Amino acid sequence: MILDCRFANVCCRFDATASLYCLQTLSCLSSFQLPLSAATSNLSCLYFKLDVPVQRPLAEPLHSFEYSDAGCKCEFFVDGGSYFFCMTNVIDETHICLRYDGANTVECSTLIDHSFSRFAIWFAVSMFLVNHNASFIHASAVVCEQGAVLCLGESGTGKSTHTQLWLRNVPNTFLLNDDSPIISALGSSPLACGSPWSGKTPCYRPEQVPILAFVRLRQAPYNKMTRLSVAQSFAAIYPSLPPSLAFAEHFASLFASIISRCLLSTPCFLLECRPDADAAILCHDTILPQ
Amino acid sequence: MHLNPKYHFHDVAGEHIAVPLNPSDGDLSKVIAFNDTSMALWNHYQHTNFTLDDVVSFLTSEYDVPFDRASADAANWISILKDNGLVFDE
Repeated sequence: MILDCRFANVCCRFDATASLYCLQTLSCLSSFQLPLSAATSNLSCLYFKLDVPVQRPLAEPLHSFEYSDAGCKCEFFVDGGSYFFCMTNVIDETHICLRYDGANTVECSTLIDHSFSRFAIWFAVSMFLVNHNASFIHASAVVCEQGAVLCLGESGTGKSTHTQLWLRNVPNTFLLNDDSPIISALGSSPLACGSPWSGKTPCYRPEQVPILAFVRLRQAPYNKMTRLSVAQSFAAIYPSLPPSLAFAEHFASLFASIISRCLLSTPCFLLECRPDADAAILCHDTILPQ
Repeated sequence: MHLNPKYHFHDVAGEHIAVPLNPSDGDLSKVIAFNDTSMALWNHYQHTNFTLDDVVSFLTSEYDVPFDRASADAANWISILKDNGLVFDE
């Protein structure tokens, strides 16, 4: 059974049997699903073969971390020219592994749980996107006047709080994504795209808009907005791209290329701010002066 | 002394940015911008050990700069890179 989805400038063709139920009940995917008759010949396509046994490599992982949302340990490997991502439940040790060939095919063991599935698919798609001048970015994205402002910061900084302040205090705004939108640097004007991964906010919009600005948030007892230099901008954006991939030289280089293309036409700011309406208005008026 | 091979350079919007590939503390925000002269020095010593005198010689031979100024600049370059973990002693 085939299920096609479109994420930014790429398409993803899921080929599943046992995992089909899990895929079909991932409600976040439905907005991005393409009708079977949709033409995808103009899109780069990732073939995602599910229900294929994939062994965890014997090599040392490049990066490993705990993913508390799914209660699992995650490991990222490079082995024999392929990239592997394995997730293991810390309690019952059930696991899934996927292998990306670096081109256009992912093989993945059977999806067993929705939290695992969401993150495993996100990880696989993240590698394919980066190979096509696009990337997930850890951000809350608000759209105003047909452009997106991408609010960056570590978890708990107040990204979602800040974009909610835009929605309440700046006319004609909407939320594009609250956790993991996609930036696409294919053309001269970088785009922000919605995605099925939006953290705890079910905001799944299959839309693309130009990026107006990147804004790194920092909590402060005052509101102040500063335009960042190229190096500062890079340091602000780079940690917001999928961190595990930055441990692989191939993806780190592509991250730099994507950020470089974005910074040629898009400003990046530091916003030191309180969680109040004035912060949102200052941010709006700096990026979109009257 | 030698350069830290973990750092990789990228041309970002016309600037040379050094990025640690696998930072031991996991902090990906520690990036450093290099000017053209720093970049030339890095490229020259990327695969070889060097001394302060080597850097002074390189600067005086490649650039129209007096010895005293080159000595001060070389010491400063090494000091900054050591402070940021881009240069190690033997």
